[in-house]
Amino acid sequence: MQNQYLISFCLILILIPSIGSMVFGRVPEMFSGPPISTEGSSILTCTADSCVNSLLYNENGSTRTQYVILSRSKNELIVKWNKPHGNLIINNLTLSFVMKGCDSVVSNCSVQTYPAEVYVWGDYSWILLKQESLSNYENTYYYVVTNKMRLDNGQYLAKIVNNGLKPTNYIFIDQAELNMHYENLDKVNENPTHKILNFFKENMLFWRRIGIGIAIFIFILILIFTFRKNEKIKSLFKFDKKGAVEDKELNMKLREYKDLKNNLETLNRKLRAIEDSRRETQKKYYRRALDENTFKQLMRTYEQARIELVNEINGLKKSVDRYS
Amino acid sequence: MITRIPTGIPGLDSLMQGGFIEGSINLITGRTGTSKSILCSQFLNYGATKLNQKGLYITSEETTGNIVRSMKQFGWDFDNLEKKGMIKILEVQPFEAKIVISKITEAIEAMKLQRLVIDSVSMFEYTLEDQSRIRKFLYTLFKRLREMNILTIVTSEIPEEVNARLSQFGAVEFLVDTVIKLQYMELADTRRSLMIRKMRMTNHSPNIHPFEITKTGVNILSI
Repeated sequence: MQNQYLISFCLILILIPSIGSMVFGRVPEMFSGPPISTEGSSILTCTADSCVNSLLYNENGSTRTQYVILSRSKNELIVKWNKPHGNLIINNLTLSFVMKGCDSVVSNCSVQTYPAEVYVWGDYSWILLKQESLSNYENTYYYVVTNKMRLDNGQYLAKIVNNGLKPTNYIFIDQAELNMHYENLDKVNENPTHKILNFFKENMLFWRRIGIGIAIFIFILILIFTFRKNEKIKSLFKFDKKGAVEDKELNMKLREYKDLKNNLETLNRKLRAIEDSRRETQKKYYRRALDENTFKQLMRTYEQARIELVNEINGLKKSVDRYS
Repeated sequence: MITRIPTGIPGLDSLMQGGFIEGSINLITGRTGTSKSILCSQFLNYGATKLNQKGLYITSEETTGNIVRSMKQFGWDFDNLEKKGMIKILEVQPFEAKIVISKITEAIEAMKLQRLVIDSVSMFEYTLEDQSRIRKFLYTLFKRLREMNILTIVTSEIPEEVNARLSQFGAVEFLVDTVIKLQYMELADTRRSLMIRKMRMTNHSPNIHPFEITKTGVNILSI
């Protein structure tokens, strides 16, 4: 019984993190591939296709900055970088990071970019356009825009997603930028692995909900398995009082039946002992270790005891048969 | 050199070093219904069918017909054996004690037989009554039989009320070479048993041996 509880407890311990990770976990990380490092240049560019799973870096004197574009799908691209300050500009067919030191395609040297990662957010159409200036550069920030969030003035809402989990606030971007980005990004990733991953990414909320449901179902099964024989729990579900009384009577009768069976077994054992004694006495008589009178006396005693036992056994058998 | 003759009773020969001594007089005694007659018939049947020894059954209580019918249940065809001259059943009246010896002697000589059963000598004892006359009669009879080297079984009854004696008048057991006592014990699992009370020149078993009556006759059981 104790082992049963222990096993159930362990299973629950395993399940909780699983549920937790499914609900609260870094979903995008489950579907992101490992970054691939490439040599960088003073101008960091990539085409829409080559941006996936790319680790790009740039050396600017003594400063090396890195950013990662993890994945993209149709109408979707997210780029993350470690420091919150910097701009991400997408020009034509390239995704460019304007780096510090003015060694970029954009003449505005004041714009800076920082290392980034790309996360796929399956239930949105995300396009990363640019970064909002933020003071805390310790954290990681994501900027996403969805074409579904088109405003009446032609602008689109971009979400600033803190660690990819919760939206914090919104920024506005222009249509022109959005169209440009769509052109770049409207190419389906041909990698089969990514196709599969993208399938799940696009329906992440659905799969998450299915996972939670399965976990809860297993949890309930564990509870049932653990407590199925617990009398206190069983009694809670016994709404039928008459049934409960009948059960009690049945239990009593069962105990009586068991007692009868035990008594019967005891008597049978005694009978076997008498039979053994008879046989032993006969052997002694045949070997002349007993005289005739003693032999007759003993045999009479055994016979009497045997008859009494047999009668008692027969009586008990009738009682036992009544129960069956 | 002692020659032993198999009795024909399964299990009995091993209790007496191989069988009866050739030419001996052997008493089978017991209360009524202890299977004395069956033993005697089995002894004769075995001699006639297995050892080619002719036998004479002298009966003082049962008729020939009864004996033949009784033995058929064990597969012993005394009718057929009589026709072949291997066995003869001779009825003798108890009061013919005086002429019994000559009758027996004549039959033995006529048949040239080797096995003899006298069932039982008790009737003669009743007739003679007197202890000394009984002893004299039996002594004479047994002496004659020994001279003729006839392997003999005689039967005797132990009265119900008597425990100490092995025969009706307590005489015959002293004149024979072997005494086998049969008994019937109601309380035992196997109710019939025998004991070799005495056997001259033989290291016989001292124990009581249960036996049963099967379809083929008496069978001595191991203890």
